[in-house]
Amino acid sequence: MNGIKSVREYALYERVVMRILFAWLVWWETPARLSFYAIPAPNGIARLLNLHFLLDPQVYAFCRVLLVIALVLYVLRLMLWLALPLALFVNVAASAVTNSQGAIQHAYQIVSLVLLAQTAAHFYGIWLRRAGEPRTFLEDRLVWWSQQTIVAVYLVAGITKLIVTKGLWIFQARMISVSMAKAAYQSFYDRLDHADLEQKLGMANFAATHGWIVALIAGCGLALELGSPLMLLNRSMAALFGCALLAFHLALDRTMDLGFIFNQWLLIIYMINIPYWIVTGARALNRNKSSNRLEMSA
Amino acid sequence: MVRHILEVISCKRRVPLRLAAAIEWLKRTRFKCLLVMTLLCLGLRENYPFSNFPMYSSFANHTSLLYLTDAQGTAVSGPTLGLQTSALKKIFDTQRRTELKKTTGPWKARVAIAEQIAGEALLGYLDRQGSVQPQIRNLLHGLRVQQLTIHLEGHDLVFETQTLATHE
Repeated sequence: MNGIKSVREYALYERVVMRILFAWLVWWETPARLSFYAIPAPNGIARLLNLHFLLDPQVYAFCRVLLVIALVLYVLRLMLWLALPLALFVNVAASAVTNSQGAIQHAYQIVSLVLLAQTAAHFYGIWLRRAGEPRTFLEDRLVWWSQQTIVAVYLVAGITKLIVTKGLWIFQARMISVSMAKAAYQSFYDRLDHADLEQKLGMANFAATHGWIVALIAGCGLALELGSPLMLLNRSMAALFGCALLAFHLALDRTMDLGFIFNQWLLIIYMINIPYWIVTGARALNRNKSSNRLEMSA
Repeated sequence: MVRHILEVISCKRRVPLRLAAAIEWLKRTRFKCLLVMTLLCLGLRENYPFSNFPMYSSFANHTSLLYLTDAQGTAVSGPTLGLQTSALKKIFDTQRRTELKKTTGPWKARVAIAEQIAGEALLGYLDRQGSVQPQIRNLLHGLRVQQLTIHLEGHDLVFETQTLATHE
């Protein structure tokens, strides 16, 4: 039962905050509407299941109601055996339809994968309980597997860069100015904001003339992706790497319009874990104060 | 192979030693989810919810994007037609790849034909979207699919635009 003991434990307040924020994130990530006439290029689960029934607005509205119920049950930790698979199905099916229009987006997968990991962790935990594992480990494993899934996403992105370029990604990265210019124009044709275009094109031109500086910065990003498993070592490393990745996302958002907002939120919820550091900091302050008082009275 | 696996599962055949050792290791490791998710994402590639996250996995000294203009050449924002500009390009590229597989002959001529057909297919997609989003129907007449190509020549970015298709 070494595996069981090695699951990191979380206080109730941490788990409650994580639950509420993740439920909100799933709700936010799941498309509000599926305004598509068909599923022209089925992707993922849409290849296995006929999801055309979701294109009926009434059916999809009903699915959204089911999702709300599932997420409320999830937050209250009631009937998780039903809530998690239900939320997973609605979320994955709806996002798969969105991704089956011939244009694959990469912003949503991380939320669906964390939801999948939590569902798997729950049922794995139920199976382990038969072997005598305490009930309290059940939710700790959900958090632990969510963290591992977030790390897996970054690690896979890093490995793919090395596979596609045969290890030469950093050397190619000096040509990132072309992608920056493309991102600048894509953003412009989305919003028609001339000032924003000029600013972003300025950055792309800087990158074109200072290719190696940009390659160095991009190399730091790759190092963060490949080093992401270090986040699983302890809470401090999770917070440290979480903040570094968050900063990287914010920088990419500014320069290339690549916000990856769901990645950012998952880092904040499961890696940076602000409530833990607030409580730990407050306790440390209290300890200092009371030890000072003791010294004064002595 | 399948029969072999089924026999192992139904305990009619012993689990091979290496496989048994791998399963035992997987049971013991703290990082089983990381391992399984990484393998699934790399193995299944682009299959929602899995992905090998290939965006920006390589860079070239040239690229292109698509945007839309009205008959007068004024830019029309993608989201007003229900699509991000990046999605226009992805839909176009899917169709372009299909067309390239169908045609034969010199590469440049094949690309020109494939891009024209893909541009028209993109307008066809927007047309069909008009059936579920009536608010975009008025915007479609005279709509043009424009391709902006970006090259890095030395330390300079060079831009070229061409019209691929026009909505009749």
